[in-house]
Amino acid sequence: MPPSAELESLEEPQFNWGKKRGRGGKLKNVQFYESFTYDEVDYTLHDCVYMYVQDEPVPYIGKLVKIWEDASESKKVKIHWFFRPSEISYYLRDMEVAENELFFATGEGTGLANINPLEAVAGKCDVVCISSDSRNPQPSVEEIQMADYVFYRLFDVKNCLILDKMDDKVGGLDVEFVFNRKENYNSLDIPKLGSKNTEDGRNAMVCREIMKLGDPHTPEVLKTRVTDGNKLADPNSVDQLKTRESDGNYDLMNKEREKSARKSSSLDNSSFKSSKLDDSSKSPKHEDKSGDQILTFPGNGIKSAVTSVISSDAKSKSGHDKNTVGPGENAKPAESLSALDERLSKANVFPSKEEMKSGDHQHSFGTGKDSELIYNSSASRERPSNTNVVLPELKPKSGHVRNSVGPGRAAKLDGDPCDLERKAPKASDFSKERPCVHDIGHEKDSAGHRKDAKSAANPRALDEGPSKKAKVDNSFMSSEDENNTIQKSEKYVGSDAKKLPTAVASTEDKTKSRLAKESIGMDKCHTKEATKFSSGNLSKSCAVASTSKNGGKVEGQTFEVTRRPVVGKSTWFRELPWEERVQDSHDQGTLVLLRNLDPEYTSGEVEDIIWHAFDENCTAKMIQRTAVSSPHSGQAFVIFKTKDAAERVIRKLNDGCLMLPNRRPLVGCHGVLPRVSGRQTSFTGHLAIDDVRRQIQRDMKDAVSTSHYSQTNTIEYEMAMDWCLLQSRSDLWWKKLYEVQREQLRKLRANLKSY
Amino acid sequence: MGSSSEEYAAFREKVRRTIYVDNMSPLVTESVVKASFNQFGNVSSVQFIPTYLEPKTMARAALVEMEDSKQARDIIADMETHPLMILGMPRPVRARPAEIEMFDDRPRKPGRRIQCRWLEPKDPDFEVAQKIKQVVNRHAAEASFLLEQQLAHEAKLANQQVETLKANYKKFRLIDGLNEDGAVKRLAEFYKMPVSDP
Repeated sequence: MPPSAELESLEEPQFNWGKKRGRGGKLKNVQFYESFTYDEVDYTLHDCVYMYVQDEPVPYIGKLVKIWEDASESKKVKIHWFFRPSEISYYLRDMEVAENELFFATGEGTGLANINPLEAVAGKCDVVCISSDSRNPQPSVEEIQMADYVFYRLFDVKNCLILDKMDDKVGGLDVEFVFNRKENYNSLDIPKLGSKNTEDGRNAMVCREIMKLGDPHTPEVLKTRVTDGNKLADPNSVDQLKTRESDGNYDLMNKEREKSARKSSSLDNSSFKSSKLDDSSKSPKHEDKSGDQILTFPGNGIKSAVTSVISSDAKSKSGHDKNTVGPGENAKPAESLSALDERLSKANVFPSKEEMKSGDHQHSFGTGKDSELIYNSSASRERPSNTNVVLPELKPKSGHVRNSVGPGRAAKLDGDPCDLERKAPKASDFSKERPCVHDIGHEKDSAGHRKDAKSAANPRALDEGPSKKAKVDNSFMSSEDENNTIQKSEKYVGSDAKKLPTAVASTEDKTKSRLAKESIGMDKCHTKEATKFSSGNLSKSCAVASTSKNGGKVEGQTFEVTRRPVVGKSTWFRELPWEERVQDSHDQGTLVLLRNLDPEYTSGEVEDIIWHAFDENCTAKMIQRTAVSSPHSGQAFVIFKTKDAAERVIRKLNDGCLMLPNRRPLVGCHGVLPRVSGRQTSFTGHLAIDDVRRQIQRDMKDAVSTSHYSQTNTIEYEMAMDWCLLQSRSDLWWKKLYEVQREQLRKLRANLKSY
Repeated sequence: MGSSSEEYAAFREKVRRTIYVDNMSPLVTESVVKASFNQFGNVSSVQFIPTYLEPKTMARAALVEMEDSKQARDIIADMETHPLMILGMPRPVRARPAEIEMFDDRPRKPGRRIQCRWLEPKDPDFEVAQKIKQVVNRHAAEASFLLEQQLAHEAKLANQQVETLKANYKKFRLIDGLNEDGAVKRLAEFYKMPVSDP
């Protein structure tokens, strides 16, 4: 190779075009692109990038808004600029600006955007939008910490104003491109962002996305979506679940599910939503055919399909042979149920996930509420059935979640402990309505309006709904005899597809009632509640609340940490000051130091976590951050009541693994306090030559204040400068150390599969 | 819950009003801090940050809440350019904007939900998580090592300064002595140089 060529190859970074968009320009000779690879970095439209500027110490930062190659084969990018605070400091005045904050350009005029040669792109820049705008997919704290820059305000280049509200368009750019990308935030960090608003916002977003996908020919799209689940969203979870379905491997405790669970915690939402969407988008289609009644029909089909799968899930969970159900379902070829089956598999995706999320009762309640809302707005009748089944269904699975239904939720949402009860009657109301849907189904069936395979399946599915409902009470009773029920269920599977769900439902109720039974010993009042309503669902959910006490830590299950009840806090004695208590407990061996907590947690939250994870009451204190504290790992001292408890917790944390949100496994060890080495009167850096000291003290006495700014012409100032230098140096050490640590953690966390 | 988010917002405002001050002598008391910062504004409260993990001789840190956030910002800016001595010298105290996590009594962040999970040992993530735990412990060890180093550096600098000061002091004592016992005058007369009285 001639040297020149070699040189060239060194200088010319690798370049490839990615996805094409369209052609443009007057002569259609401009090719637009959506992505490209430059110097081994993939860039996509609306990425944020560093732009190399000659003679500038720091690169500019902008957003790629257009990428194209014109007729002369020169590659161009249009960059919508971010401003650094330093660039617009004049206009910022004394506004508070974060260290790494940027301002996105808006308005019209110079400075908004420029066309640059593509080669000027110097690298990717991680800019996170921290706007609290509901349209903005909210980033997690971690993401904000990891981000190179953040922004939430705009700088109007025309009027030179700082704006913090975004309209639908920002400087000609659709606002959705200004905010964070949706997909980045769907699977991440739900717990963190759990504030209701953001979640709703995200759901809405997902919803819209799906609507976009599913709009034309919904049924078909749905089908494909289910079959090639990976196309739609999370390849892993959908795929895995699908495979699982086809294998008939219903071991729901297997880890795959766990893995997928996290990833899909939002996906399930979306799939759930999507089924609703499908209902609604599909129904108009049928509407013109058979009018209003049909409107409820397909929906119910789906919902009951969901139901049946959910119940079979429950069954497998209760450790019985689920495979009999699978074939049973598939053994109805006459109805050409492929569509339904697919839907079932899809439905399966969602309950199992939901289940894994288990702790997330709020979620399930949320959906439940959703459906109620929809019901109230009289959109469709089948919704209640969904509510009834899905909602309580999810709860028993999350059986290990403390208070998942009762107090916990109450505390979370509106502090109304009777919430559950209120819900209960409603649910039974719905079930009353179900038979009427059932009838409609029959009418419709006979009328023969249904033509496509899917709708053919629907009557069956619809039948399931009511029949199951009708038998809820039965099954609850029959659940006394577990074996009996299983037999029954298997029989049903074999003989009558219609009754299958009933049987399954009863097994599910059996699980439920077992829980309930357990709970009798545990918590009488809960059980009372349960029996009062005598609906299987209800007793189940109540049972959850009480069983949570013994079901403390089921491995592989998620639980939500809610406020623990205040127990055993004696108000008789004023507590000793914390410092003394720490010292005492250190001497008694009841002091535990926790690491890797989210530094944002409060002491109370740490106590709650301990209570939920170990069933131990304790006193915790987050160690307050100082200039040298790690920003990655929050530490807390926890004082336990007994040494045994402390030992147990440490052992469990060491041998097991308690995963906190944001991929933080909790670390615990014995709290060791530094030895108190007498009372030291001198302080490093404060000079203690006897004579000088006396001098200083005399000065201090004379001085009005004991503090002063150092004057520049003194030896003191010079020495102070030495200290300042050392302080800045140590600052740099810490910064560097924590940077390295952050990187190490990031790499390790990336290896976690289920996030 | 509106009240909690209001409470949180109020707390955020308080954080903005507050200065984090460290490198303070353990002898410094609340009233001393108050007095020092009242020179530049109005202190509404002072709260020391306890350091459990570090030796007691470590420099102390405190949260000084000012009347408003502007005062706090101005003081921080001033202290960056002028070293402030409190109860001793020449080691200046250092100021920074306070952060939420520095407060012991911080309220819960509204809307935060914590979900925990016990990983099963056969979970593929289990190994990784165990590794993370090790790394976290190692990081803590690294941090305490660095802290030791920093303290060592501080001690070294202090010693150096003590030496310098001693040497200077000795020099001044010498000069003073020469002045006092009339040696300067005698020498001046001897060399016929004009000397003004000190």
